[in-house]
Amino acid sequence: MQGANRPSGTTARWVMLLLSLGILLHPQAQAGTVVGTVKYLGKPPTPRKAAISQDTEICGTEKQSAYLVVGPDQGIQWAVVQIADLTGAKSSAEPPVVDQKGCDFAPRVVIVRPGEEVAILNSDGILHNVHTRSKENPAVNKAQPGFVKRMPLTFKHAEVIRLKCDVHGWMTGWIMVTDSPHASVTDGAGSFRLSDVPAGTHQLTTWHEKLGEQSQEITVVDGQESRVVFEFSRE
Amino acid sequence: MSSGRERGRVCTRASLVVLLSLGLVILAACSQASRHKTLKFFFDGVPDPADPAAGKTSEPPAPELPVVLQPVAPGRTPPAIPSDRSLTPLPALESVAPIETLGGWKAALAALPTDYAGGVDWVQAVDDGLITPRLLSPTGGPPALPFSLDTLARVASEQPDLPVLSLDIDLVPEQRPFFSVRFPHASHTTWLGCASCHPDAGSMRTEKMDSIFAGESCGKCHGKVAFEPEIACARCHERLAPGDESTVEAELSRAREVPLPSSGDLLARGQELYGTYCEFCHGEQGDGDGRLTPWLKTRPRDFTAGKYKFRTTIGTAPPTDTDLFRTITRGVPGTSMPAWQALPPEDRWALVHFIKTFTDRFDNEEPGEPITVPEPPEMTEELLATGREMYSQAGCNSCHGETGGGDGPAADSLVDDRGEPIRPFNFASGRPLKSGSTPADVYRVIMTGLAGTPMPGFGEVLPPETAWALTGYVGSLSGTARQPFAVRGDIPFDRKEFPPETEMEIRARAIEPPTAAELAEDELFLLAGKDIPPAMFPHGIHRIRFKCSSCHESIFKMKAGANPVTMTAMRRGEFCASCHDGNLAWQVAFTTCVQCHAER
Repeated sequence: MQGANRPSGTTARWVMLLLSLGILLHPQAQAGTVVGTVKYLGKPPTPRKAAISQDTEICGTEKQSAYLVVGPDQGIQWAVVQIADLTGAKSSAEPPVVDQKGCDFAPRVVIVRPGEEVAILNSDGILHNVHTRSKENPAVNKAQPGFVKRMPLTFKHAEVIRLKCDVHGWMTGWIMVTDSPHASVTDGAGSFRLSDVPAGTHQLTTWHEKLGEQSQEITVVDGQESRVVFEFSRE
Repeated sequence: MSSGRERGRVCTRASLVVLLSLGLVILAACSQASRHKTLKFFFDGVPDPADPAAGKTSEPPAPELPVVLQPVAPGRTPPAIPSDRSLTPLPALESVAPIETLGGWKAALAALPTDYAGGVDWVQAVDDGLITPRLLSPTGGPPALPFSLDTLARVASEQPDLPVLSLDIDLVPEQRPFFSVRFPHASHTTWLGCASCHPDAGSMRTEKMDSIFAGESCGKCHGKVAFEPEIACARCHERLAPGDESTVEAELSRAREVPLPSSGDLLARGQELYGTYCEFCHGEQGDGDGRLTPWLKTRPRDFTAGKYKFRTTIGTAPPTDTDLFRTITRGVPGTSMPAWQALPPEDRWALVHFIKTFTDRFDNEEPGEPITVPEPPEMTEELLATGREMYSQAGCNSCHGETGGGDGPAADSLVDDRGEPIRPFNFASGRPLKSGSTPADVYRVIMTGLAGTPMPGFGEVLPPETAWALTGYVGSLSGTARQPFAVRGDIPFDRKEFPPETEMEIRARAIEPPTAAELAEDELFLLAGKDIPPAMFPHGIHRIRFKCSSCHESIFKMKAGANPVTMTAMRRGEFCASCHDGNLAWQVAFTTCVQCHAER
């Protein structure tokens, strides 16, 4: 519960800050908020469990598949929602971070801007190797032994990059490199919130590692909250 | 009538019980001790496993042996094929050191020379007088055998052995004379008779590599009991032999100083050369999908992906031109990529620039800054200890294993960028490293990683001193593995393939049906069978003493599955028991089970 509260609190604080900044700097700007959920229709697959026998004192003895996490009310976690037709400075100034903790990438999905530094941490204190699978950006395969706590990476081109650790084959993470100023990862309930979106008609897209992409046209009205629902089904 | 049958059944049952208990006792006795006893009975100088000093102190029975057996270090230069091979210098039997005196087949095999690809070099072993596959008198006359070899004598009389034929034949492909092959009759007739290869007078065709890989022509033996053509190109194609280290190094340092820049002429030349030398493995499109690719264990590089394993550039940068020049010049040991040093340097540069055109990576990405490999520090005990510590701290053991055997906890789950399973390198095997086996080579790979594989680069996280310590430790792991049991051509026998013969089969062969006792014994074999590992026929150890024709085709047909080798058949003196009769070689019996059904 604590975990669920924190991001929305942070978001709220940022919304406040940005709104006041927006009012101060651009009193004429017209902006609204987009909130919504990404949902899964039908019965979600039962997560598979697999026993592991490697570095068990750190990784544990069992891992549960996390390629599709469906929460209460069919909300899909770890989907990226973004306004696809806008580019510009990011609304959030928080530097992106991916930790390797308990032999999992945390968070599983992170949003990074082209050229922005993403810090790969190693809380586990054992060898992980940061191995990316990408098309536009050169592949990276750097060792991060236990004594290297922080390894910065940057990517020039916008694309979805898969993050793997070969030493722990189950570890999978995603880096969404995007130059959209309004992008967010869905939480455990599948919901997202994009603040300070300029009023007007926009293309809103969502991406999920297993379910693919969807997009829809939305209209943002000044000072109002637009509600959007994305629905993925097994087909 | 019925009481007789009953009595018979009781008898069978009683003998079964007796044999069963006897069998269990004998099985229990198939221990290290009994195995040693058996070995000692047939081979002199077998070290007693209970006494580690025994092997060192016990003198071989013939102290005046003229041949000193020296294990030959792997990675030596390939033997040049002498063009004027002298005729039949068969050593007199009594002057030859019985290689078995080394203490069993493992030590015997370990003492045989290896070729540059890491396999046993049988030809060199004959040349060095280490082995005597032709049990004949030096004059080529009737067999002068030191002991009763009825079977072999019979084989020899049926097909009189010919002297070794000293005739080299140059096979020059019309289209690509570069790939000329000198076929040495001499090293083949040491093992084979004329008819083994020439079933009809004069019939001999040279085959394309596809057919050889598919098991035709040379491929009938090569890749099975003789060296693998796939990874030992230079053993036939002499111009593909790796050059000696000093000339390679001289050329490479020149290439580092003055790389030849690309030009229109050079690219055109490169394209032409590519079609002649590279295309059949790397493919017309450069995607690593050539005509021969399906036969190769290591997939040729896909130039369109633009990922190169062997680089001096760190991180994500593409390789330098000199990196590519280096790989072309020295090849990739242990794979089908030969050394192309026989091509003039200009031609190799032309190929470098041409293969770069298969991807736009070299145009779009910054050329990498090559790492410099600093002078290695003196490898002290302290530095090695640091290396050992770093080996587990840096997590090398996760994949390469605690003792460098390539068997770390992550080893089984690794995949390459194509999603194909890939094994971490087994340092303990002592096999040559693909990117070179010198300390500088190991240092470089630790720092840069191997693109396209799980091996990451440590260049950003290890200071040079630490990397050298690690290099030293990895080097100290090399070749520490026990000699593998199997050499090329060993044949596993799974007894499930050969169920006991049916009555009809036995009648068809017009031999005596098995007695009740034999049947009971079979029963026992079947009962015991599920706990006993399948037999492995060690081709290697038999090649030390016998020619191919000693056993083929009179005893064993040369066709998979054509020899129903069962314990029943052995009991009648067939197959292995033709020689393993207690007279010529140790007897196939319950007391000798571990000889064949040994754990590997």
